[in-house]
Amino acid sequence: MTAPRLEIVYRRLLRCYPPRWQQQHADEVVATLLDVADAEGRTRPSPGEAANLLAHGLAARFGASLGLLPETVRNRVAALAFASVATLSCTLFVVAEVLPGPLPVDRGYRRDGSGLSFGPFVTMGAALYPLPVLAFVAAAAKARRVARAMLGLTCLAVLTILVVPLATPSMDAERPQLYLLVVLGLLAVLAAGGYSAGVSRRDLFGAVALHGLLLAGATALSVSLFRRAHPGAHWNWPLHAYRGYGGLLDTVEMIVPAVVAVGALLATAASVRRPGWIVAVFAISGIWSLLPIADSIRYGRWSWENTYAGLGFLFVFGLIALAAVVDLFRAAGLKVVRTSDLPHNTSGSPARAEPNTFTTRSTLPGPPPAP
Amino acid sequence: MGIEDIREPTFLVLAALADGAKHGYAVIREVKAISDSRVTLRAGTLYAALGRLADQGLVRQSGEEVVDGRLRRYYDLTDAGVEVLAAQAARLRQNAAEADRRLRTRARPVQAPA
Repeated sequence: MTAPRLEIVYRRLLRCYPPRWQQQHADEVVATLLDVADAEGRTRPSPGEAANLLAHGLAARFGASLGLLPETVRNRVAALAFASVATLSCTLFVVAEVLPGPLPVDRGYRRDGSGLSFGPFVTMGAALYPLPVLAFVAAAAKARRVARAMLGLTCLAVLTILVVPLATPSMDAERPQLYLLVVLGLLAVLAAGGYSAGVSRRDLFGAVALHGLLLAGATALSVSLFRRAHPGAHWNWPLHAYRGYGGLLDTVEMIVPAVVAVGALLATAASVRRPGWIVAVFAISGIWSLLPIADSIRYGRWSWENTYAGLGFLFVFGLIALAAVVDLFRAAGLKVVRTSDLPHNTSGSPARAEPNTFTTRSTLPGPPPAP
Repeated sequence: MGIEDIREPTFLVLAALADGAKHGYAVIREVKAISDSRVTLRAGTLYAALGRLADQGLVRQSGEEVVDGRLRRYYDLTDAGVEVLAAQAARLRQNAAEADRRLRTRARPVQAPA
């Protein structure tokens, strides 16, 4: 590989970095990389060098993206994501994995007849769900590093459960639905990426309490709906919480749109004095909303009623998105002023706009020009 | 930046710039020499560290030139960078002296007679 060719390869690797960083540093970094390659007698990038550039480039991109969000907003998104993944995992562990007993043999759901495919548990989810719960316990005990590590492990566990069945198709153990794992994974990534000392414990505990209330209500509703439809039948057999009509997940999916609307109203009230909550609710409720949508598509339940209900929900979600944009501006301390409103200094030249101010030209008629 | 936060590669980058401004490849060479070839910085790590140190006001760009068609941008310590490096060096010296003192006072095991 000739030197110009090597330079091209290095420049391709540097595309992992944000465009602004590339404009400022690409030339000097390429020069350094070529100097190192010359000194080591290499004509192509070493695998370690390529991996190093890839990792730092992606980290710079992620950091640049995160940097666009004010810290308060990041902390609130992290608090809600953390509370969501911890409470949803805790509820699923108890209701969907621990409570269901083995099926009677004559029901013959599986070859062994028990319906328990992962040891004494229903699915491989039993290995995943305790991790975010332990992360919350660590956060409550002020062990932030342990909490972050457990959240990171949660992301890894989600990935493992997604990949392992693909690698070993003959494996007998069930896994939770793909879309449920994706939702848990997204929440865990947001929580792990944003959890820091800036996340207030009061916010985290409050969010956990609200989520706990919501999921306890969903569980009670699930029991009530099932008992009404099947009086005397056992409510929670294996996999019913995941896939059954009126099961836990089905009930959660049913109430998500209403909860999103109520959550947005609560966030609007909270954001008056503490901006950033509407953005957080918008981000997290968007992830929760994937549950009913993916479920309808996965199990072919989408019909014309869903289209109407979906359009209504889309309208409400659009309003929340608009409110989130305004909230984001407020959290960032940005405000829009008209040039006609700017104060003028004594020399007659317009005063400079304050930092963090968007300036627009007024379309209102101004005072008549001086003669 | 508190001196407690400095990790070894960052300390070595500051140490490499202690005797004057250097460009990226020269810093990589100096770090290798200072650490007796134990630490070899890769370019991605070096420029991430330089960016972080510049944001913290410990390092600044001090000029650039083009040599054989390659851009050399020079970096130098700021006054704050000199102070932080000196404080960190003093701390490491103090820790090393204390470790030496304790090793000298360590009771030697009694050798059994042949």
